[in-house]
Amino acid sequence: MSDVEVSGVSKRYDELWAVKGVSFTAPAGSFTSLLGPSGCGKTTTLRLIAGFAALDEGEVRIGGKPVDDLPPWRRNLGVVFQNYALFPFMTVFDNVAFGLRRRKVARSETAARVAEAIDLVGLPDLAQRYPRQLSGGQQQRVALARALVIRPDVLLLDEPLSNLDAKLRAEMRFELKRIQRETGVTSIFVTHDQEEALTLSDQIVVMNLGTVAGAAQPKAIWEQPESAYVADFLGVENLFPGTVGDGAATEGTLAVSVEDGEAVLHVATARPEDRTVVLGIRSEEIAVWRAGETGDEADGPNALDGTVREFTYVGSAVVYQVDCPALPGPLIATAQEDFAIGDSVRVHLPPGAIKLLRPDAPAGASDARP
Amino acid sequence: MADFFLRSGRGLVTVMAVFWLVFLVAPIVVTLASSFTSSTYLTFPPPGWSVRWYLSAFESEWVWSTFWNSVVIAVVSTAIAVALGIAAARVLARHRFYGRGAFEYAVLSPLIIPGVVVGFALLNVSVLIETQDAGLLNLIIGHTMVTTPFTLRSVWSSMAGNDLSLEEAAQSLGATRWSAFWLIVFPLIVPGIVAGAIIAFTFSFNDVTISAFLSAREARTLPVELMSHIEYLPDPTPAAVSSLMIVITLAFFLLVERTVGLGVFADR
Repeated sequence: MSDVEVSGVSKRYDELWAVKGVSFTAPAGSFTSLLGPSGCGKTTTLRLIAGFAALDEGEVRIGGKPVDDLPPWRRNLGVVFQNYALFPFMTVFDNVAFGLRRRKVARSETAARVAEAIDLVGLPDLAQRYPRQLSGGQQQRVALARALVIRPDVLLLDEPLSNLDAKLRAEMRFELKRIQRETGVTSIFVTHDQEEALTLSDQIVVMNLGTVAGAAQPKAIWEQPESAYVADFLGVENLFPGTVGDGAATEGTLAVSVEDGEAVLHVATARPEDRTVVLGIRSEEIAVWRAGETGDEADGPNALDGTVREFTYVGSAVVYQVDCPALPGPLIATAQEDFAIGDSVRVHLPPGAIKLLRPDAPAGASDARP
Repeated sequence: MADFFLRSGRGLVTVMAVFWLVFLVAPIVVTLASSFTSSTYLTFPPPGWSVRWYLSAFESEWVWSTFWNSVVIAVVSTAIAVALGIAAARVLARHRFYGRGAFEYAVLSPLIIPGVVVGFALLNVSVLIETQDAGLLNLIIGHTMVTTPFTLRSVWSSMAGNDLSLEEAAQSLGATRWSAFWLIVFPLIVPGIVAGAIIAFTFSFNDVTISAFLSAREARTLPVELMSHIEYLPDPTPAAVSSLMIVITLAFFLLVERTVGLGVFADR
């Protein structure tokens, strides 16, 4: 097992920097996700690690050794591609054995290791089939077996689950986790799906416009995203720019005024370095009542009037879009109760649930929400 | 509406079939039939049947010598055209570079420039560089130039389907750039290579226009020699040779159909 150190890596295509100064470390045996929207540079970063593209700046070290002068075939990495990239005219056996044959492994050992790899990824006896005769999930497993059979120092996965249907994707997620745990191989996983990144990773590296926007363990990144951009990408639906007021609002809370709105929200958090912040709150943290119904919190400082604009039923709950006059844009809130479009409601944003985020939010993130 | 298109489509197919029969199949049948004539001049229908003109063809020195010239020229120029076609197709399929469009047009231009012009131009060049007596060499160069677009096109279209990630996968598994090409890319483009090679070979073997300019005294191709015989001699030997060429070409296609299938000619 080897760790992967990516330090200050940049790659330029013509005048455009695909990645610029990307640094992170994937500890040996860990599972690291590169998370970000398309075009953020996550796949380019993976390709630089694999050696498919030459980097313009920086250095990649695998197991402490710089690999930048090594071609892909000397790096001993397993790569799983988004489209699986199985060799179409070879049987499953020959696909999996390809890497061993390049390494001149003896016939008998090849057969044993291929069988072992096929078993590891949970493939039934399909060794003599051709890729086109397999389902998407089976092809996925063959691609994994082919990458793992060479006992790679690092396993690189480029959105391997994105071509599967929802049910299979959930299943393969568990499988990936099991296989990674059983083999203990250092894995770097590229995805645009925050749920995949959260469920699989030991570490998430959020990327934006070719740079690292934040890197942390899933729990840390979920609970306290580094910036508004990271929060946005990790599914914090409500983000409003604001300014922190002087002094404390109440015992232990700060008063933060929302930009372009009248609301002044109390936030139970430590005072940030900068007064200019972005307030973030997840939809499920927000409480919604029918107007007129009163409760302790419905009259509290963070309670606002609103009108239901739109709703979507998601099975376990209903997600509402609520227009609040005191806020610059609609609020996304989850509730169990049924409200109709046009209903007057009262929403409450608990002071402890609001995060104050660094407003690095570049174009994409701030444009996504009005 | 759909009915209209269906009916007019069927009509069109019938018309095409009639044209094909009248202008392609009928002349071939006439040639084949008259080559078996017993008379000393070409006539249809033949007054009697005989294989004497075939025996005459087999005994003619000019048939054999030009036949071997044609075979050598077709084999060598096809081999070069295939190699060039693979290289050019790979460049066009993989790389974006300045002047790519111009390169593509330059390689494919012999497809649209009339054969007479190409032949005449090549003749001038060979005179200029004083190789006009090296007929075999000129013919091979000329045929390679004109057949490379065919091999390029068919190899290129067979490359279009396969993803760069296949090669990258092979490389990550330990294959060098070169072995990734031979082990993964090459097997995938074999149908395109076969299709291109057959078209190139047939073109070279049957060409008259370009060869007429480039044939020197001792290096004449079978079709060119056949042409001058048809022009100056009234005997039916050329008809027998033509018939043999038709049979050889058909056998060639039958072989392909049996081995790799005629699907290789379909653009994918």
